[in-house]
Amino acid sequence: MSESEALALEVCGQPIGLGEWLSGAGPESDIVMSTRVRLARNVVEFPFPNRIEGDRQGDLEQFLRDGIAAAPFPDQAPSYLDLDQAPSLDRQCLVERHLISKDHASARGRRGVAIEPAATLSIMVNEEDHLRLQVLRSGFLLDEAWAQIEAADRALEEKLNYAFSPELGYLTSCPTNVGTGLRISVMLHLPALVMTKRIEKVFHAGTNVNLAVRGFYGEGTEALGDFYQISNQVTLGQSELGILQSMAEQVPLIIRYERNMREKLITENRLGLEDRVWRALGLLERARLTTSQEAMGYLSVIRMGIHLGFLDSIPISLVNELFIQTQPGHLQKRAGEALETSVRDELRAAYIRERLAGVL
Amino acid sequence: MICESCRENLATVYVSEVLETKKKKVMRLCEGCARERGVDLPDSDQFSVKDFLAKAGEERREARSEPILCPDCGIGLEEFRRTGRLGCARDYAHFRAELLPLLDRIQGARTHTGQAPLRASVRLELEGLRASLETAVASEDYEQAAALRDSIEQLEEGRP
Repeated sequence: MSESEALALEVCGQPIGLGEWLSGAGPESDIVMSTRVRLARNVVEFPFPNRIEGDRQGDLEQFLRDGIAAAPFPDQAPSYLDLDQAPSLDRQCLVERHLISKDHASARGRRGVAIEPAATLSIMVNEEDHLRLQVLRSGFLLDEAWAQIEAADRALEEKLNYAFSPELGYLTSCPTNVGTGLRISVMLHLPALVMTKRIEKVFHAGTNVNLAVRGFYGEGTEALGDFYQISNQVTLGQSELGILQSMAEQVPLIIRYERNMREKLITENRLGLEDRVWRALGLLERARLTTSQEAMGYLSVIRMGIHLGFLDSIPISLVNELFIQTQPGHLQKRAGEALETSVRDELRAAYIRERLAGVL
Repeated sequence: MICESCRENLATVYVSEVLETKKKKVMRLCEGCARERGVDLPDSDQFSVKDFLAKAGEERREARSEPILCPDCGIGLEEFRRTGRLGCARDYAHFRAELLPLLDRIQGARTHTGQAPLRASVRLELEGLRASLETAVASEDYEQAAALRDSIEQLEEGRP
């Protein structure tokens, strides 16, 4: 299988780009997997999606769709996917690519998502709010991500009348988003802080400065693959630039903390750490049945091993892709059918072996 | 791991029960199901809008018997308390008195300080006026320039 074949994803006949965020090329990408910026927006002409039923829902979808189609986006225009018509496996793949939310995938009724060709910008239509704009980029890239979403927002605003009050800002379905409607989420890979049992400290530090820290895959403190997401909790009373500034100040502290712990682990027990990395690689190279949880765990250790210089023949982009390609939706999409868990474990193991054999 | 009780949510709590036979039984549950079974979990950092509203509702229920519904979307406070979602943008005005204390609690603020949408029409008009102003200044027509400057200022102040 060629690399491009392996990464191809087609939804409703439209090819979806893998997403720049998996390239591993962004700033601080040894620790920061991705930077995501999203804006919640509603138009004045319709009630919020939860109060719309029947034909009106279709009218709203068409109204928003027309607005997106007419908006003068500065970059390539996004193309629209009708999620009401998309097979559930396709919707699951879009969730795994972080292009739509789980709720949006499993909801019913007229709804969709517009995705720009490079898959850095996506716009969910008829989710909790009329529009949810998202920009997802590789590494720690706040300013660029903000500039990109701001430009898309301004383009949409030329065609749509946003619900806005001078007092409360952009009006949203849930009061937790009112004001700027802005949520910034930085996904961090923190294996050394987990190994040294310091992750709890990061959680506490976050809440003191109005930032929420949570496990990315899974919930609570035991995050699968050691991925954690840090995001702003407050959307009202702080300007967009204020929220950006606060993330720009806090995230580097966590990055530095993780780097220090990696150094500490190397100084104290380099051989033990190397052993852990090579064992993870050995297992993935040979295993015949690999659960999703195992894959996440071993890939996480390998990802760290690459950045510590223990493994130099594996490109980081491959590891990042494997995180996505070994998830249930992608495995089944490639197989072209729904599969039992045991069959998925077999296919997952085979897929990882094959992709690793290509570089080792 | 899926919750063994509801089979819907992710299991994040492992509960071990000691049975009469002195055997241990371990269940993997999601937070919701664990709480239903009386497991005392540490408070999550996530503030629950629903809980807050439910409490606010209890306090107010005695004082008011007639449900107030938004004339635009038909949503009432009861429904908002139940779902945590408003029905339309105008609810913020209709239920302002109820929402402001909630915003204090969840946002720590009640006033927007960020950007505002600048509608295309306003922007285009401004661009036109600024171009005319430049022309007027270049041709030393200061009376015209002053009038244009006033119009620009008015338009800028009038924006939301």
